[in-house]
Amino acid sequence: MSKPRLDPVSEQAIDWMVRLRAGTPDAALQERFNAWLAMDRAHSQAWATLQDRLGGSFNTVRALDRRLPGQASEARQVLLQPHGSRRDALRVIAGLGLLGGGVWLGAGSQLGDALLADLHTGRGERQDFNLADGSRLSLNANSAVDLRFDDKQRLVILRHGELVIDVAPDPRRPLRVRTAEGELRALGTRFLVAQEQEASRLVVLQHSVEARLFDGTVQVVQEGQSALLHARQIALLAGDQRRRADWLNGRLNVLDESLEQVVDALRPYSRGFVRVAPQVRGLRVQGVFPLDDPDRAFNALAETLPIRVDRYSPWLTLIGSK
Amino acid sequence: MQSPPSSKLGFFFSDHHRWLLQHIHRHLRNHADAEDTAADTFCQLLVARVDPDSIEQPRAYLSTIARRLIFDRHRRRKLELAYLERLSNLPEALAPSPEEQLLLIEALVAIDRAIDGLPMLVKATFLYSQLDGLSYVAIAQKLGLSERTVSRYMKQALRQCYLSEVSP
Repeated sequence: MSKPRLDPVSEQAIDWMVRLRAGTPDAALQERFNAWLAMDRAHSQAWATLQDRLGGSFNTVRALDRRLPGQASEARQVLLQPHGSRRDALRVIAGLGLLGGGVWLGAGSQLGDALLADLHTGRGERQDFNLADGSRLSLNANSAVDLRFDDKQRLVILRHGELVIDVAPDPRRPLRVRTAEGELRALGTRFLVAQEQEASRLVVLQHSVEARLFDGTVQVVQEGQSALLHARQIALLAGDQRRRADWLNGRLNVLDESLEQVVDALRPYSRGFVRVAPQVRGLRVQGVFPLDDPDRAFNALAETLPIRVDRYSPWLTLIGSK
Repeated sequence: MQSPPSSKLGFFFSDHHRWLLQHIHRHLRNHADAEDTAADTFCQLLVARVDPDSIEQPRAYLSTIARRLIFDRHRRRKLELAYLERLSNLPEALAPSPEEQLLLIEALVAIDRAIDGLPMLVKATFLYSQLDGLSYVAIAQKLGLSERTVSRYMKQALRQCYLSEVSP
């Protein structure tokens, strides 16, 4: 490995760190170190930089370990699992250009397919999946979930996008859907979950669901109700939002939403990027739009709203004010 | 009218999208992943407000960004799954809350990147000191090394951390 160069003061700071970390430093060593630190502003700056590089995420692990002893050890063992380095991996895929993703990534994983399965849909693609426990999962376009099913739990991790799940009952293993904001625990039920920007949306289509934030806040949401899970609070929403599941039938059914929200719902069906100018994002929209033909939906929007739609290629659509 | 950079990017997307998607598809079997990564790649150009005219070798440029995205995507997932797998073996009382788990996974990704490329024993030495606070004597015993070697490994790891652009 080639040695990148460091200036002499930084090297000294590192040497001090190496010495101080050896064990409990004795008074003489500590004194010499303090003298070095005070000798020059550059010294204290280099020391501060080094401290900074060794703070951050390491502190996160150590703080958690203080609360739950053993976590630092778990972290260490995960980090020491053998795998190709980033540099090696990049070289390999650059050089060969023909490896399947699974060859260098999946090999050696202890998690079999029984434990782990990834399901995704691409742009413009909706799909239904029958899960091993008998539950039925529908993914909206451009959505991804990971499944962690074992003999104790059924956990669906919504990475992005939107799902509707029809949960097969299993009193021993509650089914939970995890999003960036929290978890939704099925109480024998069918419900919709969408990962939105900085919130997850829950619409209960049947029975009820227990919504729980990572800070412990809990709210039971009943059939026909819906809620937005923010990082710190769960907001119950007014009105019946079950129309939001209309994507199952290829329709976007909108009742007074912002243009931005409507475009966000069409995005997963659009081949390229859609950018909405800030001035028109807040325009209110109402109507039913075809999901499988987003261009037609954009044109329909342009007919009823003071907007213009410019296409720079199939890959870039810009929506601005007229 | 649109500003010239947007329309230039539009042409740039048109010119290279098909090639980029095929290129990524060779590395990722799953079509949705490939498309997502291609989109991500272009998004990075948009976010960074890159002028397409300034890119001398578009294909090399795009494939470099895409490679990084592909790798990061999988590396992250692998660390996350390895951690969750270990957690599932812990009694519930010792398991962190979901929020703490997310924080820890973020930390793992950052640390993994900071020490990436170091030999395994160097990593182990450093993590015993940095995470567990062990003395060199204890580390030397655990790993069957001399204390001198432990010092040398520590120096190697600290240098790499110092040189990493962002603190992990």
